[in-house]
Amino acid sequence: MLILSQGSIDDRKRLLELFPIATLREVWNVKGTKTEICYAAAADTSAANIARIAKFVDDNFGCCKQHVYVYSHDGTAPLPATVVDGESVLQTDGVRALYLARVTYAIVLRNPLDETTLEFLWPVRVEIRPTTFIVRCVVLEKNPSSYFDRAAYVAGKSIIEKNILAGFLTPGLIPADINKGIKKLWADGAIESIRGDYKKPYSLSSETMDEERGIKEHYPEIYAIMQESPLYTTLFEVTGDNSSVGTFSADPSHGIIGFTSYSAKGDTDAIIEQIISNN
Amino acid sequence: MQLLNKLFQIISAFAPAPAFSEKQVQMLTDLNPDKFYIENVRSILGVSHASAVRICETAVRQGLFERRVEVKCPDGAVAASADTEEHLPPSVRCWHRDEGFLGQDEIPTTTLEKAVFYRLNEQSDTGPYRQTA
Repeated sequence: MLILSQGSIDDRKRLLELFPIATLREVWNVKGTKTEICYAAAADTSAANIARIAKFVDDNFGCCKQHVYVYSHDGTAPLPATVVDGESVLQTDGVRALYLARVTYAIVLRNPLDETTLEFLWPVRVEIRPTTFIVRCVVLEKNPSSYFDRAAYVAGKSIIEKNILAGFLTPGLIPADINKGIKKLWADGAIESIRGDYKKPYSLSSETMDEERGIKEHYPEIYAIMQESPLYTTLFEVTGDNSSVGTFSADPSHGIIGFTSYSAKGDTDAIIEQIISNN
Repeated sequence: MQLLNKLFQIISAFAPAPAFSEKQVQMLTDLNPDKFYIENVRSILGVSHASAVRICETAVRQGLFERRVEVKCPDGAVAASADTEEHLPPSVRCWHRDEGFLGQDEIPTTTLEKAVFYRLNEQSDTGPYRQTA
């Protein structure tokens, strides 16, 4: 866990800022703003606190905006030993591991024009099931202006998700087709699509509903066609009041799921679990 | 058929209009009474765009149609609608594609394109058109 213990306070603070303030308070029991809580938690470099940070990131991974890549395998895919530009910081039962990769953003500042860099510890998690290999990458902040006292934009990154995935992939891993799992949740009424791309025999069709109405509710004939067709980039709303995930996107034909907003209760875990278990 | 008769009267006010053909009656019957555009009316009646605008606006003045406005996201998706532009929400949620994923943006309504559409006035004494079919 050298990447955590030898990293700067700012590294750990930016890592913790990826999580909701309520969950941070539960673990560190510090009063103040989110920034104050994160600084206090990041300043303690004791081994116990470093381990606590790693466990906190792992336990609350489901709260973060994230991109999920699902692969199929023949049961022999190993848990990766490390991640590009980072290291494994936590392993659970040999079937799940949390990694942190160090990513450097090239930042351009405005008024006056200047260049600088910003470093983040980027959480990535891998889970291995008997026939499924799941990579989950937290989506880091895209607007760097909050870290500076003036307007700023990202000019480049030292590593992107493609680099992370390339480091994990082995020849036996192929993108999973998760159409079945997604469509089961849709049929059960757990989710409803408000826009989606789907393949008809001789065309790629796209349906975008006005005012985010549901396709299944308002166009049952199109829903029936989509249920029989390969789905590509599609947007779903999670129905019901119990889930803290409002919407998520998926490209079921390529095994990709994207959670575009925070989930206060970490319900992305349950959505992924339901899709995989019904697939 | 009261709505058809009213619409016929409105159309006749602009130009000598032939009786509705069986196909036109069917197309009018199939029109979604909750939402239709000038182009829907223009194509059914086979008139110019300017005539279709006049017909729809006359129908609004006579209480047959309601005029509404919708706001469109940069990708063309309709994000919200209201009876007037002033009653649209100050900002709307739009989506963009980003490396294979869909990302959301909150965009001020004033910066986005608006479009007019119509719907049958349910308070009109004709009632919903579909019930006449």
